[in-house]
Amino acid sequence: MSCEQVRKIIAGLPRRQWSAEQNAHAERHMRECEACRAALSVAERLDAQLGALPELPISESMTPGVMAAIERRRAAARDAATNAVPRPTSEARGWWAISLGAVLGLCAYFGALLSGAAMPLGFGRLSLHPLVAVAAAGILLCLSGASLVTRDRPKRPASS
Amino acid sequence: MSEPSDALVAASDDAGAAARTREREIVRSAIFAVRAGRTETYARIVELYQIRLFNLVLMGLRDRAAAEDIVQEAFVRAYTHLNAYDAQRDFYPWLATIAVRLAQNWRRRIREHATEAPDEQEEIQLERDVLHDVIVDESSRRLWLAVAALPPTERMAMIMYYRQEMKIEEIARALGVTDGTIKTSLFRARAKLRSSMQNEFTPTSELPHEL
Repeated sequence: MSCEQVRKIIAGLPRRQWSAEQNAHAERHMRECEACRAALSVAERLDAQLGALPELPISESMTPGVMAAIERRRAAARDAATNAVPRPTSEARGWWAISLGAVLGLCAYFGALLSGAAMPLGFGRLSLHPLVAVAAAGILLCLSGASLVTRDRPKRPASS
Repeated sequence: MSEPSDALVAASDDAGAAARTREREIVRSAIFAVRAGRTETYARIVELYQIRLFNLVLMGLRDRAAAEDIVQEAFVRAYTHLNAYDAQRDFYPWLATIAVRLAQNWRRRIREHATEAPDEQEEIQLERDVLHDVIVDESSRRLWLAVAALPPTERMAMIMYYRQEMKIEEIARALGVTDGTIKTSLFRARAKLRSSMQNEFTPTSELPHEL
């Protein structure tokens, strides 16, 4: 290995980053080369001084400041949890949907009765009447409500 | 190379490894206690890392007040996200990553709001008075200032690698760059420091050719 190659390794990275192969080649070369030994010594002195670079002190109030800030965040999180309006459960939303669906269905049925356009228990010729849309919306609401009500219920074990 | 010097290096490596093991133990027990609800134990982690983290952020920002604010915020964020910390890894690189991200955001905000480019020399000058009181040795003071004069990625990489003994991949993760970028940064920074500290390290009789 030439002086130029060894100098490249020395300039490249601190010695602890050299590969085993680089270390062996450089070591072999430096046994014979005083100039490269001196170059390594300079580089190692810089590395050592960088490793011992003095640290500036921090304000003494840092630890109490951090702990106080943590306490403030925890208190804020607690307050937020206490004041938060509870979200209705799926089951409650399901029952609301079923109730609304039933009301819509009844409105459509009685609307049809009052307008005389349908027989009780049926919508007869009203296939395109707006009341059909209301009734369909009621049915859909009832179905989606039923699915919400049953979603989080534990399933019964299959009977043997 | 001389055997006594190798023996000294080995002894210092052993001492370093023992210190790191002790540090891991302190952090592990403190985190266990915090997760069990004893928040006050977190103060042990703050005590352990505050100076190290402050010096890293200070070197990145070169603004004492901002560095203290960011260190405080980094500790608070680390606390609030403690569940995301992987206990199999060292704590400090994780904490340093949080602090570096906050510092990068701070620098970005300052740049966006600045009407003119900051005067780098003036920024460093602000630290000279503080340095005079803290670092008595002239040569160490010059080296500190030479490191502080490097570009941000290079000076952060230098501090993390040399002073905080972080691995190249940990530094890369913290700074959000590749391992190769860190190696290049270290190479360039060392070359610049050698050049600015030439009188300190290269007596003409000792080094016939420039590195």
